[in-house]
Amino acid sequence: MTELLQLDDVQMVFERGWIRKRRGAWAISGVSIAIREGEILALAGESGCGKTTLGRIALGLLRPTAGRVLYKGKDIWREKGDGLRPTGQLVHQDSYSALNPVRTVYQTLSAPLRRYGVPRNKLKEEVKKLLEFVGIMPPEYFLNKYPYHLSGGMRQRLVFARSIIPKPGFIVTDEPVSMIDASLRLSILDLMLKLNRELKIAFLYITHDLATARYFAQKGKIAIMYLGKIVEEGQMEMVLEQPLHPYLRALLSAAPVPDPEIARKKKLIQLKEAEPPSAEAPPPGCRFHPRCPYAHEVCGKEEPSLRDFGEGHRVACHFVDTLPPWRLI
Amino acid sequence: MNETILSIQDLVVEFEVRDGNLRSVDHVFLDVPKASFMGLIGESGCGKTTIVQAILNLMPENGYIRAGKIYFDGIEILSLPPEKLRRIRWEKIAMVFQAAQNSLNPVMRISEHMIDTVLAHRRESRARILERASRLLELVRLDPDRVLVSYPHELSGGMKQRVIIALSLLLEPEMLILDEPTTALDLISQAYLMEMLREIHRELGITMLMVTHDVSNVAKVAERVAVMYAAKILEVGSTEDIFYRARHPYTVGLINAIPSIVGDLSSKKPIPGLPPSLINPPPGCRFHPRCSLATQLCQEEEPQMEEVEAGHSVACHHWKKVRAK
Ligand SMILES: Nc1ncnc2c1ncn2[C@@H]1O[C@H](COP(=O)(O)OP(=O)(O)OP(=O)(O)O)[C@@H](O)[C@H]1O
Ligand SMILES: Nc1ncnc2c1ncn2[C@@H]1O[C@H](COP(=O)(O)OP(=O)(O)OP(=O)(O)O)[C@@H](O)[C@H]1O
Ligand code: SF4
Ligand SMILES: [Mg+2]
Ligand SMILES: [Mg+2]
Repeated sequence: MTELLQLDDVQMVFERGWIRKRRGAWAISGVSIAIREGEILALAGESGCGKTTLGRIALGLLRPTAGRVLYKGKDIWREKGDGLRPTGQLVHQDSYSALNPVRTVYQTLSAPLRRYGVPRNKLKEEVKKLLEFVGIMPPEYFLNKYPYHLSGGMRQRLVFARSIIPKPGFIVTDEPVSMIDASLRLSILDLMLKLNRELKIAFLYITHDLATARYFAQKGKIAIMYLGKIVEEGQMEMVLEQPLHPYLRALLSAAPVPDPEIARKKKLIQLKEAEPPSAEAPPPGCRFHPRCPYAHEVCGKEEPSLRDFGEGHRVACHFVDTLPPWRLI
Repeated sequence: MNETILSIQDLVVEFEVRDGNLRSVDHVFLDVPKASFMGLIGESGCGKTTIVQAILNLMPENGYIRAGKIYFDGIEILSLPPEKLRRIRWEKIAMVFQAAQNSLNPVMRISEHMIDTVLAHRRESRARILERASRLLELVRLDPDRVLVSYPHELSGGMKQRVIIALSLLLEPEMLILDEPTTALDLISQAYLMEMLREIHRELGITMLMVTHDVSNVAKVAERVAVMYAAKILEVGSTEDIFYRARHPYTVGLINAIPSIVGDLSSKKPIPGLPPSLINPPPGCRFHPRCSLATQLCQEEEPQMEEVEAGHSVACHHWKKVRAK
């Protein structure tokens, strides 16, 4: 099976100023992920763990300090130049800054449509079709509006409309709904599902919110990141049903649930430290060991590698076999 | 139900803005029972922070309380002279503001913050203040020996937030109001903070009012919940009333629009349409343009709060037709 996009043992060290140049800041350490055509992968983890950095590497916007990025099997940094930048698009949380404030809705879409070969006399029709497709309706009403006339949700729809014009193989969405009103969040995730289903666009969905990840990638995969490493990955349903890494278990035990009975019964797993250490100088051995309630001596010394526990459910922890059985409530 | 400690009656608050008057609290009534843990939920911009600012009469320059009364322990506090109101703030009602982590003075140690806070209100020996501060820091699971001598920048965001909660409890207030206490905290720190708040409530018997746009957060800690939409409170009830037996179409829709890590997702869906502008809100029921039950009556007449069962009130003409899933 060929992968659409593959990150192979990718590493990213940012050089920090000139004083501490030699130390550098480790943002990503040896991460491999793969996305097939039309597949959805949710990448979840807490602030600063490296999600945005990994998204930018996947798009070819940032060159990793080590490792390879393959798009349709070709190394995008080795065979440079020949249109080998992966044909992905980025949608991030701030739809306002993503749009040109002095361009109308029509101009925002007609310019790229033109570049992608739509003849002048067909432009208006195509723009309207596109607006309807992403749920900006009635299109006529919106054609001459500027971004500041639009609600956050409508702006995000417009960004998606523009992003599908180049017929991308995949879209990286970086917290796309975190600035959208709670009552409307699902409508943007539903639009993304529509793009996935009808246009077969693959998605890398970056988020710190496990509940929206579950909603969007229910039929897809999830990868959990901690301090620049993937600690657990697999099919969404399987991973949430039977989480194996102590960090994911802690996250799930902490996740708020909109149901008082479950919320009150849920037991919060007590970590040794509430907050993660600095990502720049990660702890030796298992990066989670200073906080992990199940850690033994070996955890501080040897780094656990990702092992497969069946059907691609992979976990990086020395003690998967001896963890207590999982129960959310 | 317990006696009421805080009672907001017919409160109207407006901001003067370029395009006219923006009414961000519109004829709001809210009773907070003594020793209860109450959650106030609503989407961004619906007026939650404005209510909190009005309770202590701390409006920004262009904000005006146009009408209404606020009773605390039976005393109307909006008409109190400034000096008296100042005493009630902090000593009786403590407040943790939105984004409060940044309010700590960077050149003062935590111990000095503690001492200054108390001395601004009453005379007390430093030793006694620090003793009480240590107890409170332990209550929020911080190590007093380490934290008291620290400067704010030496603490993480989650630790600062807990220091601020300890600070707010230093004068032994009867009520604690928290505005979005978990913003900017990571998931795990958020969960710890919620647990701590529940413990503080249990141990000190203090009345809590927590304001948040995160519906899931109140499910765990609150005993009662008020739901706000476009400057109005639409529904109030026990947490179970709101999550399992909601009678306002907006409440039902909002809870059904929140995804979860457990349970069935197939019936989850967004609410159609958008929240209205507060400068020119729709007539009648403010939710009518988005409501599937709306009739002519809803467009013309504003529904009033009605008690649908003991302790559960709702402002909807058609609440009898509403059944939560
Ligand atoms: N351009 C840069 N220069 C130096 N350090 C950087 C740069 N970009 C990111 N970092 C560091 O790399 C680490 C990972 O950052 P990144 O933005 O990828 O995290 P994230 O998971 O997206 O976090 P958040 O959830 O807060 O968006 C952080 O420690 C960050 O400070
Ligand atoms: N100083 C101000 N001047 C003008 N308008 C204001 C001011 N403060 C708030 N508003 C407006 O009043 C309305 C209510 O604001 P408020 O801050 O009370 O909402 P909120 O429910 O706390 O929102 P959030 O969840 O974003 O904190 C919003 O429409 C806001 O834009
Ligand atoms: S390897 Fe050790 S420290 Fe890391 S998660 Fe597993 S038990 Fe915890
Ligand atoms: Mg990020
Ligand atoms: Mg607010």
